[in-house]
Amino acid sequence: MPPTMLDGCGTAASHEFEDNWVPTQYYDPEFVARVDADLDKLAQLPAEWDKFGAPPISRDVIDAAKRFIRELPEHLAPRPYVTPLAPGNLQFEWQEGDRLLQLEFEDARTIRYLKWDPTEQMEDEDVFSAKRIELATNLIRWFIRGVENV
Amino acid sequence: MSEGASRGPAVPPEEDLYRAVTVSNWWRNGRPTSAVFTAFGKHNKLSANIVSKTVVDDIVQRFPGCGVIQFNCGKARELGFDAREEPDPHFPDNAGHVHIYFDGTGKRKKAQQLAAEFCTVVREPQFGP
Repeated sequence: MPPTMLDGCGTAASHEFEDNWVPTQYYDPEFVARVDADLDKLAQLPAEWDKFGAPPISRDVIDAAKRFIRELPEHLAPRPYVTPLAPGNLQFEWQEGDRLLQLEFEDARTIRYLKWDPTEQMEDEDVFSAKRIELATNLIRWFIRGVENV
Repeated sequence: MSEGASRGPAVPPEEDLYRAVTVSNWWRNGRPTSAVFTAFGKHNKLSANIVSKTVVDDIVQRFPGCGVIQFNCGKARELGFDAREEPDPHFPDNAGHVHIYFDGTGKRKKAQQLAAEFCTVVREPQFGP
């Protein structure tokens, strides 16, 4: 079942909350469990899973990705695509049309991201520590804002 | 000897290349995703085939159900993907085989995304359940 979109997160009774106002949330109580399940599937991939010599997905990377998903704010975003990568790592991807956000765990400690939106001429790529959840949250919010404006 | 010196002959820029897409997660909305071009660290090379030396049905026969995409070698090289004629470790009779090394610096994911966008689809995959 797709996640349900809820408008607003309460009433904007006070201006002091405006800076933190979240116009849309993605109510999805199964978010963590379903992403976990996708990660568990990647953990089962044998060597050569891509038919070209890919190693199994690193257990450390799987565990780091699970920790990361649990630490994200609730109802932040729809479920990401969970994609295995040939070097034995993985990435979370959100895509809507040409708008794209990829958070790739290069290893258990490092995330390389790609923000991509041709209509905004956005082609931003960089790396950050997997512990920096607030930075990842801001990237995901960037993706969500663009989807809402379509 | 550097890795570059130990590589096979460079594929001419006018050649096109085929690459098999063998993973269902790497195909979305009728197109390959940039994951098809991910190579770094110890796993820094990709397998592909020179179009002029390859029958596309042979690729599908080696990898049943796979998708096949095509892209220009010179354009890929501009993004940092260096194609070299080298033997296929899995299929020694595959005469048109190349390894593609990613030599770009820094913006690896951007290069992968651009490569995924400029390639054309030759065969849609038929991934099983």
